[in-house]
Amino acid sequence: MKNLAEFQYPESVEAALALLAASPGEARPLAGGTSLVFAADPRTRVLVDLSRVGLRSITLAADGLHLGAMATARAVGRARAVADAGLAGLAEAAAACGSRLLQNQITVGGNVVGLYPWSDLPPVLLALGAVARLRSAAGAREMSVEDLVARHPRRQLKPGELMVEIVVPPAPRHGGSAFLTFGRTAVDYTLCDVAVALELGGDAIKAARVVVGGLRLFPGRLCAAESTLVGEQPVEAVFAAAAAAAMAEVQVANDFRASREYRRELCGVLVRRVLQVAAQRAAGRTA
Amino acid sequence: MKLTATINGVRRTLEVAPRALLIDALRDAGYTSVKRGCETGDCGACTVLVDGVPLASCVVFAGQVEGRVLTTVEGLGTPDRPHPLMEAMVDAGAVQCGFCTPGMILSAKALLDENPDPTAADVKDALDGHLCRCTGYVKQIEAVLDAAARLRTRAAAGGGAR
Repeated sequence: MKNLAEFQYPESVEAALALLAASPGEARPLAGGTSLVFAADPRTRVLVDLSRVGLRSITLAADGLHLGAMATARAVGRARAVADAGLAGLAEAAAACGSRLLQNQITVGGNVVGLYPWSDLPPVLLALGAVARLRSAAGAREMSVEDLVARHPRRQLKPGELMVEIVVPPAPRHGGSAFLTFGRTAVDYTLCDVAVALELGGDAIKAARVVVGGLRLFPGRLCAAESTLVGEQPVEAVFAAAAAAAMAEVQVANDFRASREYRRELCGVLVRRVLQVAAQRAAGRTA
Repeated sequence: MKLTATINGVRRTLEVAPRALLIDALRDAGYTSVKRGCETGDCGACTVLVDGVPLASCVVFAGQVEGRVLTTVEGLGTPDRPHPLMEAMVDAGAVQCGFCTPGMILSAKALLDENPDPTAADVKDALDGHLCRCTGYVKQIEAVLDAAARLRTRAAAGGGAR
């Protein structure tokens, strides 16, 4: 940010969008700042501080759970609305973001749009079928988190566009979600993380979304693992089969922290464990 | 650029570079209890309360605290008149080199402001993100629980907590 010259403090989303539109390419939105302070970005001249525009609310409505882009990871992890929505996997991912200290600063918007391989919220939002609401001075549009993270989200946003909200659809009545992440220590970079959303119907798995993160640049669904699960009973042998399918299909990038083989194995272990937890939760909501 | 904020109860205007980090702005202004540790937001030594919320000031732009209310350890107490958290840290032997202590005290202060009667688990949760390389972590947890008890006693006696 060597050419950073000023901060702007808009007090509404509209004012922020106008500021972003007024200096295309030179104005950049600032949420928590934990990663922007390290950005090597010579183009940015103006930081548009979003701390006064609102967008912090976390509310449960008929169409799902609404997460304001400026809601902190700490707030999401503790929110009554997240618990009421039956989205335990989301609360787990929020509680896994950085340390408790950094969770006061990390925001939903920053964690999703500023996506890193170790970002904890995008995998679980993808598993839960969440939708991002984007706004610019010119208008508004929606994009699924799945589409948003297919490339880097920052490249998906048009100049002057801001992610203002994430909407997580209501959890099905017999639904359960879970998230697990693994690193060398509690605060080290993620070696692999897995998020799962399951829906039970009768005594079988009706729908399943299995998402892996941390292994490549962007998180992605493990479709072979998902189809192994659908129509089967939520039992250990089925989870093991899904884990084997996950290990067979997953693409693992090189990383100096751990070998490809180790991380592939780790992915299988996490898939199995996270399925056990999500299935228990889904069954609990059935009862 | 000019940065105006209330620091430890005093409204101050600092001259800072636009890309300055909060840790540098505060240390340059004399608030040296704000320690420079990892510079990546991982160790907690640079913690500052911003509107009562603990933040790692090495990953905050100075410009982000415009108009905010900041608290550093200098604002909690002095050697002559220490805050109960400071007393309890010393009494528990939780201070060896002392580098992590200011940050831990501020995160503990934020916890006790919200929850005057925390459990050990609450304290561990609140101190997550603060690394100590000398004494370990048990004594700090004991110290915060002790300080909470002292503050409750003081409040019950009508002394009022700071």
